Amino acid sequence: MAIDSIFISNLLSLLGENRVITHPDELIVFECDGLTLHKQMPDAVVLPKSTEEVSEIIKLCQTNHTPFLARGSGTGLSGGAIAVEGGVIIQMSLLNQILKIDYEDEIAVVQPGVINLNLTNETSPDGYHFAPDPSSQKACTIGGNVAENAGGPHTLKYGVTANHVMGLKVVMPSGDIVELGGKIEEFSGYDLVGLFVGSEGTLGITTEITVKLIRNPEGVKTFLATYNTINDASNTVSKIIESGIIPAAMELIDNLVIQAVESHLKAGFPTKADAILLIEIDGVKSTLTEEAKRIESICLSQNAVNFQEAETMEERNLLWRGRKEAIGALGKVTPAFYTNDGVIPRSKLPEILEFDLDIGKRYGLEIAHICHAGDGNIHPIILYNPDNKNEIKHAIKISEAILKKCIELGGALTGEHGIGTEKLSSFGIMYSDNDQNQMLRLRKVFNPTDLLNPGKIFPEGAKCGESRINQTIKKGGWI
Amino acid sequence: MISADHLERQLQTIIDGNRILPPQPSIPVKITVFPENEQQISELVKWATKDQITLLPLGGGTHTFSGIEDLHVAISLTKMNHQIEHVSEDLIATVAAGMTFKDVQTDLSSHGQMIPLDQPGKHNSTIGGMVSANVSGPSRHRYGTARDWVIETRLINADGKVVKSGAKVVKNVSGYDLNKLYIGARGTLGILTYISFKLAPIPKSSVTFRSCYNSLTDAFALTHLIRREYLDIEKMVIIKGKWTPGKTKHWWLLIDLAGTEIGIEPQIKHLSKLHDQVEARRWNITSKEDSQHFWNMACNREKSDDTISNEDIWEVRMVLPKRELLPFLVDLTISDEMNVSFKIFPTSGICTIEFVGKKSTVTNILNFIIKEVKVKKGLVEFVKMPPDTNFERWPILPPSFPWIQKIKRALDPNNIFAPGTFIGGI
Ligand SMILES: Cc1cc2nc3c(=O)[nH]c(=O)nc-3n(C[C@H](O)[C@H](O)[C@H](O)COP(=O)(O)OP(=O)(O)OC[C@H]3O[C@@H](n4cnc5c(N)ncnc54)[C@H](O)[C@@H]3O)c2cc1C
Repeated sequence: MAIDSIFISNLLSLLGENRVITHPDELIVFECDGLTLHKQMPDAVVLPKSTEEVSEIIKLCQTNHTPFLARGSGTGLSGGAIAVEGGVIIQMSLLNQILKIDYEDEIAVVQPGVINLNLTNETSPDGYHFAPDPSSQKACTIGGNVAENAGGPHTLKYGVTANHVMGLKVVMPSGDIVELGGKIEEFSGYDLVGLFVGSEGTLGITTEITVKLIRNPEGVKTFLATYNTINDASNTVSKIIESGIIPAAMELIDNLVIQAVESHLKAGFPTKADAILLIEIDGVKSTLTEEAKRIESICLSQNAVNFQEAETMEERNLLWRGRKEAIGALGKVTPAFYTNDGVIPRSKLPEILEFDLDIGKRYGLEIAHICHAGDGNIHPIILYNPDNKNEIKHAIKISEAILKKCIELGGALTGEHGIGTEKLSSFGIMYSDNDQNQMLRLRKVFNPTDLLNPGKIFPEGAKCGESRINQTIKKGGWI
Repeated sequence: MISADHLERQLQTIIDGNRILPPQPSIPVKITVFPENEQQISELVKWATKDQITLLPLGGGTHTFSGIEDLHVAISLTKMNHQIEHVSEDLIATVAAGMTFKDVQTDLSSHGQMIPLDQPGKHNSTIGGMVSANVSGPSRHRYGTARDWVIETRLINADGKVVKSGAKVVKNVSGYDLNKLYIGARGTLGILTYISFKLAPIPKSSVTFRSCYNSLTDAFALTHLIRREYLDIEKMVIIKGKWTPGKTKHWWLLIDLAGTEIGIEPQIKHLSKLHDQVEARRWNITSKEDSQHFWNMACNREKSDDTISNEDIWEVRMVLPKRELLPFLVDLTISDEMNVSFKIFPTSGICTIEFVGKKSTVTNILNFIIKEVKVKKGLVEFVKMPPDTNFERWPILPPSFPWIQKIKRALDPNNIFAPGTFIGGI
């Protein structure tokens, strides 16, 4: 239901003027997340400072039949944080305290608005870090990471967010405050923490998170392997995995991205290479030299034309800056691009990359690649001109075709960005009606009125919201 | 009351007669069926829903069912044991739920890969049973538990439909992760038929250290020291009593270092030095055979003495915040009358204690454990207890319990899957 002045005055009396936003000029910032393709203005944005306030806001929304959803930093790339049906966005940025760091139990308790990198910065002087390291880690929140089950380059060895969350305090869509999991290593009864992580903010709103802290490794080695063909680079990936080495990270970057990065910051990527692999191993120092030798010999056997190790910390940091800022760098060489997040079993990497390049050619659009290759998580980035309607259509078609191919190859629609509003139409390629019904039954347990974050993940639920989404692509936007 | 004969006649319309057998004595059902494919399971579930029959999904039947009311039909998955798809370059395998863990590991090991979970109790444990019970052992120090390794499941749900969750990829956020719900659900949400795992490479080289201590505090001292060092430790356990070979009165600490052939050498030296720094009565690096024997015993030993009656065995597993475990165990006052064994995963805050004794001698201490663990927001499970005792198998309910009940009602509305067998009687 649209919101009226009584509802707004209830919000105001709960939170005060400074923490309720209703003016359209201010609301515009909240009309989309990192997926600028889908837009919808919320009717109001509120900024709670406590779990209890979140609960009160939710109760007000329920009474008024107003849709609501949580939002972290809005860096999500699948439209998860848009108010598809209008309503209230609960902005978590004032819930931004690290509540506890406990090295004895190796955990931290944080509020959801804590920025991912801040936790690592806080704990690294003591030799610890928070393992999930999305490229957006300077900006995204841990609450958003939990909702999207975020990954990052080092997911290969350390796992995704789900592997690092032990407990959640959640405000259910009923307004009830419930603790799931806790500070112990197992869950009694069903693993509700596991269910909530990655549920894209559709089952409840997280207000406190207990995460594992991981000890920094004793040693790290970072390598740059250069290839004349992207095929050789991608073949190397499964050869390394099959040999019994799990690197900490193994990223594949193609020539288009290399060019963009080098013109942006000179990370030391070879501009003539068709592709590079950025490989990192870490762990106990005594094992690294041997592993390094084996990796080098596998890379060379797969036709790497150069294999070099970052000799200093500065060199290593620069290589990683090149990787983490690659998307930003691409933004400088193309007016717009569309990032895909398909996943395939890693041995299918050569096949999917060939498919991408092919389909790009067919539609006359360039596709750049930055892949979390070790995980089989590809990020084909489709470059297009936002002033050309045909190119926009083609970009979307290409992305859908790539996802379909990923499923054909035994993969999945999204490795880390989520379904959101973006991949609603593809959801049915991966999951049958029966599969979806099983999930919808759960959604109904927690979110029976469907007022929490409607129009996400499930094509069924999205129908009512579709009419309000405004599909536009702005210049320079990442769709 | 539905009789076994009646059930048998009904079952014969769905499944071949020689796939229907009387139950094993330890399983609380009237009859057991052995379906061979998803289609048959699906029909069994549809029939159960229609006729209000209760089903107990079963693997190797190695699980204990103390204190559970009789159900109607056990569905044993052990005949669904024929498929395995292993793509070694992906480090991924898909396994039929009825395969034994041992067979799967043997298959994978020829490619230098493994599912990094520990072989529980008996050799006929099935993959489906292990995942449903979320078993773990000393390897959890390095590898975690099934929730870190299961990437896809197929399950027959309450409608008798096959539902899939996840995919054969190591990273995936497409839809809800129902795998997490099914792991550890003990068959109360449906029947798992296929499970895909990501795999781990088998370390090239490993070495077992064994040390003995007079007190638990001394044994923990080394585990605390280790946490400040850099070592590739794969497994760790502290044991006493029946889980040690000699049933000695001392505390044993077993540690496996694992790594590459060259890389492990300096670590062996390092860990040896650490052993010299603590109050060990003695320590040594064991031979390969001894090491296998020790780990087997620590993971699997069921009974140290066949003269002990099941009526006197109480096995209690508890999970606490890591820092609370040692002080809690030190505070337990155990009387001399009790015959007690311990198995502790010190870096995970987990301890299993077996008491052998009459109800009158153990009741006080068991009540004390429940009370204290509850205060510390931990978990307690009675893995074994004599029949007709008034302890709940899971005496501490989590604050989320009402939601757990709602999930059970939503996914199993007719309450056909193993009713009454799980936490809080769900
Ligand atoms: C340049 C760039 C690089 C990126 N790289 C990566 C990467 O390497 N790996 C990766 O995984 N992702 C990556 N992303 C995507 C994005 O950063 C992640 O999905 C991140 O986890 C989102 O966090 P956020 O705080 O911005 O969440 P938002 O975008 O604000 O929200 C995302 C979803 O989370 C929900 N949500 C937020 N907070 C809560 C809460 N407290 N309770 C319940 N639900 C909540 C929202 O409703 C929404 O559905 C990248 C994005 C960009 C722009």
